[in-house]
Amino acid sequence: MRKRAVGLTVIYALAIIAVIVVNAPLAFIILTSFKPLAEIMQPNLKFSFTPTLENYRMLFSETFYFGKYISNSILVALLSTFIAALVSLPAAYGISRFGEMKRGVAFWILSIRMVPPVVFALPLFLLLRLFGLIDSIWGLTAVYLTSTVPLSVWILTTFMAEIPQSVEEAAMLDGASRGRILLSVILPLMGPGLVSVFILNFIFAWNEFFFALLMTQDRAVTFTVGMARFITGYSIYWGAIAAAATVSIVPMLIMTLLVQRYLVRGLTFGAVK
Amino acid sequence: MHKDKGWRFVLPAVVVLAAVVMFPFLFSLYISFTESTAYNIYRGRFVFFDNYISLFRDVKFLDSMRVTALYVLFAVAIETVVGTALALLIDALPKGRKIFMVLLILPMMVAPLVYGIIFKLAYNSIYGIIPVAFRDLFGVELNILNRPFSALMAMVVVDAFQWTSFVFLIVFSALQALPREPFEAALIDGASYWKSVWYITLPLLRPVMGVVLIFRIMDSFKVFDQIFAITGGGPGTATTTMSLYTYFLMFTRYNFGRAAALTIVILIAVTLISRVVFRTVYREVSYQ
Repeated sequence: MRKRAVGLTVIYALAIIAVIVVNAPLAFIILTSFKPLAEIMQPNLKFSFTPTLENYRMLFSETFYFGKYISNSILVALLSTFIAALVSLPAAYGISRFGEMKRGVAFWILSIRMVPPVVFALPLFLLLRLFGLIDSIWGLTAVYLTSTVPLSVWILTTFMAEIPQSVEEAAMLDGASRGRILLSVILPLMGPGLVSVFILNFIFAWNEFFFALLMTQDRAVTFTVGMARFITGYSIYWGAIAAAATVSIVPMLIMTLLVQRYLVRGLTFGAVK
Repeated sequence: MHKDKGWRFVLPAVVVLAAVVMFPFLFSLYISFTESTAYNIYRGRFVFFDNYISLFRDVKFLDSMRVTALYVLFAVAIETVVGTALALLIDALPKGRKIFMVLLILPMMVAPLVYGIIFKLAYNSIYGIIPVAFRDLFGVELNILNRPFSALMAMVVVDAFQWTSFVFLIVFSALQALPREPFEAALIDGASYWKSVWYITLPLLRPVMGVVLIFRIMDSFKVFDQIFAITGGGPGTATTTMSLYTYFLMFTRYNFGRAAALTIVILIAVTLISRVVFRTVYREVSYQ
């Protein structure tokens, strides 16, 4: 019995050490955001400091446009999520109820997930330029649909497959059309599916940097691009960058807690449940 | 059943994907056969396969393939081993597994760019916490980002810090779903914990490990954000992965023709790989 207790203490200790090491980079940047700039750039090890909100005050001052960047990020995330859900819900229904196209569509969608964004970057950039959509919310939304639509179709299909056919058969006997069944029978049952689609797409759009870097210049600049502009400049405002990073991290941590039940399914496109 | 009716429901999604995926792809294919630059984007001279030929003679392109291969190899190896070990550790806890699970998956929810920013600060040779700690504690001067190989490995470390949590999450979830009977039988037979891990757990995890490897290989192959923020591809071309090289071809050298050829090469490679993957991994999955 003693031996078992010692073993348990050891594995709990290891687990706690793992949590600390894994989250050390995040803790580091969050702590840095409360440090005065002079102490961030001090070339020696010193762990005590006087916490300050100066970096946050600077981040949201008139000099930087972070309020604007944040609202751009949220707007693009909401639009690309909403449009994706709108077209994906019927698609998921079609794929899960009409077996013959499953394999073809499934393969196509999975392939799109695997393609590096850089492959779409050039043609989408040139096309957006042709239509005058560079540096616009709608242009960036269209670009994000390349990711949000495949993800949404896939996740909703796995949720849809769990709804038994018998639920629909009753409605079908009453003479309801397929479209009607989708709206009044299936939709009310898709709550968890739609929530996880919403959150996973939101996380994607909020964190996305590469496309936003290419497709925005001024009016439609998102949060990540705004952050990156701090470092490519001549002087690096580490305090404000750390504050921006913290602001970017916090909503993601909250969403993790909300969506962790469906994370695995979303992240592996249903390959693991 | 009306066999034709399913397409009605799929049509909106197919139209959207055709507009944002297929049409751009065809456009890219066209550009790749022309001499398109910043000055004649949409009406470059038709040059057949010249862009493809020059691409495979381009030393920097071949070098970016080498850098990408090394990056993917080291990152995926570290993440798979550490992530699986973490999953086994947390799975061995009698209580509180769920809390530890949530606490260990936080890194992968954060923007890769944020990890780039964190480590750009931490690696700074003058005031970064890592060089400073090595100097103060061990008296070693580190110049992490100035040497080609250490710069590349530094990028691998950033990737590992963020994406080990992905391997952990998938493997841990799979462990929760394993059947209990083989383990009970092994316990009765007096097998040790390590023996049952080696002979029962790991073989049962094989299909899941396949999925994990594929997603990690594909995603680390795409890497851009962190490297762009930390080194911008340097020193020299030591951390210029294929994504970064394509970006430079497009937006600093404005060689759209060759950049398009490069994206087509990447696309063909990825399609072939995912076809193989799809056959092997998704064969068993059915959505009935």
